[in-house]
Amino acid sequence: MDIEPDMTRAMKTFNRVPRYGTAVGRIMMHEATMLNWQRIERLIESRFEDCITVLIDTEYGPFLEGATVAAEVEAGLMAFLKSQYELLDAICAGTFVPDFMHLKYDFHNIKVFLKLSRGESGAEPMLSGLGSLDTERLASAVEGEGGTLGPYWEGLIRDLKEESDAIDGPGAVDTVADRVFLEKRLAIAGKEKSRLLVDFSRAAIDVANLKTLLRGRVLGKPPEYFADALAAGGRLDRSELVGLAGDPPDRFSARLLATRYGGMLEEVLHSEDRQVRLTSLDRDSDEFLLEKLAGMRRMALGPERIVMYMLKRENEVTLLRVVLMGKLHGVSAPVIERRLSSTYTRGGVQV
Amino acid sequence: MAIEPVKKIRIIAHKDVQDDVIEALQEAGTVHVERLSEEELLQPREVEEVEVEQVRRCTYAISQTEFLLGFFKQYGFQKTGFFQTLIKEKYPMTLEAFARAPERIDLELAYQECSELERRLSAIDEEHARLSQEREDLSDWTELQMDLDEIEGTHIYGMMLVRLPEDEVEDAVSELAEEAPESALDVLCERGDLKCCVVVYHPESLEAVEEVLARHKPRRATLPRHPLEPAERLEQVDREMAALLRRREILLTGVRAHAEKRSEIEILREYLVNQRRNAQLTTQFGRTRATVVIEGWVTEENQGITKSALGTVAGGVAVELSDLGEDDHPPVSLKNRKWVRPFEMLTRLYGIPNGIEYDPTWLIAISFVAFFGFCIGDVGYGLVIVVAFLLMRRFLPLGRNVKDLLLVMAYGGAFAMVIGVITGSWFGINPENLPSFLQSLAVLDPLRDPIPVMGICMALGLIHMMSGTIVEFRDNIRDGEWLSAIIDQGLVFLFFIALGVAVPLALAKVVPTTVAFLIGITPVVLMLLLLGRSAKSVPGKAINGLYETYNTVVGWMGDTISYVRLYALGLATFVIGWVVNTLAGMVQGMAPVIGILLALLVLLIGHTFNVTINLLGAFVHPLRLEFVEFFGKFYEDGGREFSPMGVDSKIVIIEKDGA
Amino acid sequence: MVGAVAQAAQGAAQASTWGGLTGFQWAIFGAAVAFIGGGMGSAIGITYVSNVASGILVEDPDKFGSLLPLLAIPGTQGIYGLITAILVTIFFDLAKLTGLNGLLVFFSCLPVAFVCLVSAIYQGLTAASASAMVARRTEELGKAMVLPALVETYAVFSLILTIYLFTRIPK
Repeated sequence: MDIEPDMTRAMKTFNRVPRYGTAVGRIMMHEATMLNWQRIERLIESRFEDCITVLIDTEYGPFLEGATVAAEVEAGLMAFLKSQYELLDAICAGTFVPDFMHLKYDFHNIKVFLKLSRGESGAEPMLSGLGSLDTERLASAVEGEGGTLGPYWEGLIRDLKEESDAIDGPGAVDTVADRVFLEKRLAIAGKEKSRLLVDFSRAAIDVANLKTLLRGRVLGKPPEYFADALAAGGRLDRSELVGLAGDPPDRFSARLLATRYGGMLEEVLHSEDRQVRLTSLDRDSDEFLLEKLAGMRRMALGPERIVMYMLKRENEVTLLRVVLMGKLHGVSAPVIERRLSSTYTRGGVQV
Repeated sequence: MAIEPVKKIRIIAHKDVQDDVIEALQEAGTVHVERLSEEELLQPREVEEVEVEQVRRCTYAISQTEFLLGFFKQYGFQKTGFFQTLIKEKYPMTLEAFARAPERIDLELAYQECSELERRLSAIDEEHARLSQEREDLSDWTELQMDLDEIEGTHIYGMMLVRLPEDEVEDAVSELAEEAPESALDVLCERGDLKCCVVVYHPESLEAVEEVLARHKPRRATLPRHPLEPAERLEQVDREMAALLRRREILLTGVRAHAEKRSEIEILREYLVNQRRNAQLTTQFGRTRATVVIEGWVTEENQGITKSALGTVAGGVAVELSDLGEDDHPPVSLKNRKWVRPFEMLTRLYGIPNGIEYDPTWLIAISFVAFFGFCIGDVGYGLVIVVAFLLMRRFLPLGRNVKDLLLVMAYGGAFAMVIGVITGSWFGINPENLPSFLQSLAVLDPLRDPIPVMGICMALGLIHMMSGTIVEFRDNIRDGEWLSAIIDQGLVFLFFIALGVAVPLALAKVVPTTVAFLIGITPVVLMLLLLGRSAKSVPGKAINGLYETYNTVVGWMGDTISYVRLYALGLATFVIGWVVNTLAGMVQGMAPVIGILLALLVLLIGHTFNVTINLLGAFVHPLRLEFVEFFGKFYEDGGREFSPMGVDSKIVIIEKDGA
Repeated sequence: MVGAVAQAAQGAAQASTWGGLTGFQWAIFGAAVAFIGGGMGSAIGITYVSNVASGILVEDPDKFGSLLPLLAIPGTQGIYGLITAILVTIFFDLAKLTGLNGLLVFFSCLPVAFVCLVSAIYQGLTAASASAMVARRTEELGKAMVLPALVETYAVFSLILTIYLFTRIPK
């Protein structure tokens, strides 16, 4: 199921312009309205009320106007994000780009329902309006009713359910669904015939696999866990990774360091401190995916630019949430700034 | 000196007259307000509630005006023709009239009324959409002769309305008979490929019925409950929809009444935006307990005006002017002779020169007009451009930039007429058909003998780029970079001087070719030796020298050839005009009287098209020559524009009293 | 022997046909090809920019004026093709053109045909990308225009070369 695009795709660059040109043009205007770092710094320095006043002139204005409490801010930000997704649906109708972007929210919601149906507690709240699936229909599909979501999703949900039911203990849903999500997203990127989106999805799979592998070993997970959790389709062969899981530490490190991700893993594998390991991996892997995304900037007129914009916007919303919630709870400016530096890279994207 | 010398200004006034000072500054329009000192005493005070409140109030009112404008647009009370999108409506008015903008309209009232209208209109639209949906649902079931209320059934029987594909009905009937014997399916009517069916069943067999139907791609219909039969309800719906549309019309007349004040609202919005900017500026002011300190920049020329404007403020204000210090980075104000001034727009298009860069606007003015003239290069078109643009400039309400642009192009059009005479181009008429005295004026023939014209274009280009190099030479001298000036620019001059000496000497056979060659090659050798000086090692210097020399020589060659585009564009104007004339001639021959009319039509449309399309080319290409070939030699942008406090609006144009 | 070859060459140069086509036919062929290249390129190039521009205009119709120059830039190649085609008919006495000279006219048209085709397409792409600058700030138009105008250089060169080659062909 390797979805390496054939060479003819590279020749299709021209044809994509008529297809995405208008969408990219609209995105260009929206890009221009994004908050720059100076504006963010100004927000960090201001009081909450002034933040809202500053934001009135931005795209957030209509959504945050008059917000005074956390719930209103949250609702406003979500409504804004929803409006961005509506824009995406409108300008990219008929392509796979909306599917590519919606997928993570659909999986999030599926996970919520699956966990509910298994009677697990601690499920996160639902994110309605951001996925492509209607949540009520999704709920009934998870209940096992047919005829509402179509064979693709129903089959997918059934498989997820069967697979996660086969595993005991909490976290089974996450393990399975996160893997399937990555694989499905790669498949969508392949259908979209975008080399960069495919590259990005594959890199995301590799990064996620490596994290799973390292965390799993730290936590002492059994070999079956890796077979369930590691996704296929990345640059690193899945079966090889699954095999690696049981290897002794020396061999394990040597094999991983020999891969293309060796540089990123060096610190992690050599450090004794567990905490250092995982945080540095998080940071390095984010940076790695960021570089992948930076490649998208060069494809100025294709679907990549749109995906990039959406990811940047999502990041911006995350960031605004940190600032505004911080302001509401009286967190001091330096603390907020410190918190931001771990979630936001200037002008970059958090994936 | 084309970049105006500026001075620092510091205005100290009692805080009670702050508003008067702002008004005076706004009217004078000469001071670029900016915080300059970092002294403790003059820190901008903590933003006071009053100012914040002022900003907030303006913001709120602005959003009200924007709501109103958007509302009018949504309901179609705004002109959206081609020209409206190209040229925004402008409102010329005096400052006093502008200041009275809030008095001319009761914004709060208009907002209240319009938001009420908006609420009612959208309620109507929503209801209308709901009814048309119901209408669509009902239209399939008009044959059903029972009240809508009864459809749901009772405890004795259940009933459902369902549409099935034609080929599924038979199977469904037989399966129902088998699996849910206490039920019956009747086909009511057909709608396309679907059959509308009524299923009656015993409540207990509901599940079995649903199971059967689910196998046959059913489309269930749920109709709203009413004590009427579907056909009756349909009529009722139609009546209700018609009533809604009538009410909508009435409401729209209300909107129209408000929309008549659209321009007032637009002006008010501009006024509020300006107010808000002023309020924000006041937070930049320094303070002591009793005074307010405004700092900024003023051009030397305007210091007198500023002082006298501030002198009118009651209670008096102190104005201090001081010269620039070493570390000051003042905003840049371009100042040129009157005829050059419109061309500042072109310089701005690239970017304001940084504070110490030479203002090249007068060079741009001369060269742009020349290039533009070459690109149009036709007496007729030139005349049309001059007349049309001067008229538009005179009579249309346009912003300053557009007016400048029109004047720039009119200058170019005038020069195009000159070029047209020299090249014998009159509305693209075949030169052989021109009167003989006009033919005798045409000393160049771009069509049959293109080489001389190309040569002239390249010569123009060389002069153009040379002037840029001279500016850079001057800049380097000014900065004390003597070496750079002599090597980087001096060698280029030497190269062309040597070329200019050697080639004629060789051609005239005054000296042997070898000597001429040696003269010509000397600057190149010097370049090879000297241009690589920035590299550290000796081989590095050699390689760098080779590279830089190649770059310089080939770069100058390529850039020079690039100017031949002027010839190509001029030829394009002529050739297309020529084709239009030929076409008109062909049409004219087709029929006696109508032929002439048609020919006139062809001429009108064809030549209009030609002028339009070539205007774009004649603007873009000379501009590129300025920005790439010319600016590339010396220009550094990055200056801040001197933007004095005053009314800044795209659609409101402030006229001075009596002007 | 040498004389015979020279004579044959002389004969070929003066023959009224070359490869079965007359000089007139070759010249018209060249004129057509020149415009086909330039015109197609411009059509494609403008399509690219206008696609993106239409998106920008959906969001902000006021940018029309500033986008117009960018829209027009890839159009010049078509004009160059047209000039070449018309020049062929004005420059040469088509009826008297020998077969070989007609062939030369045809070859001279090829630089415009190919370079204009390709440069217009790429110029369209460049202009489409550059319109992002106008989308951000209308004042950036000057700089945004420079980028696609650079691509045009080679279309201009091809036209100059073609015209220059025309002057070298015996009429």
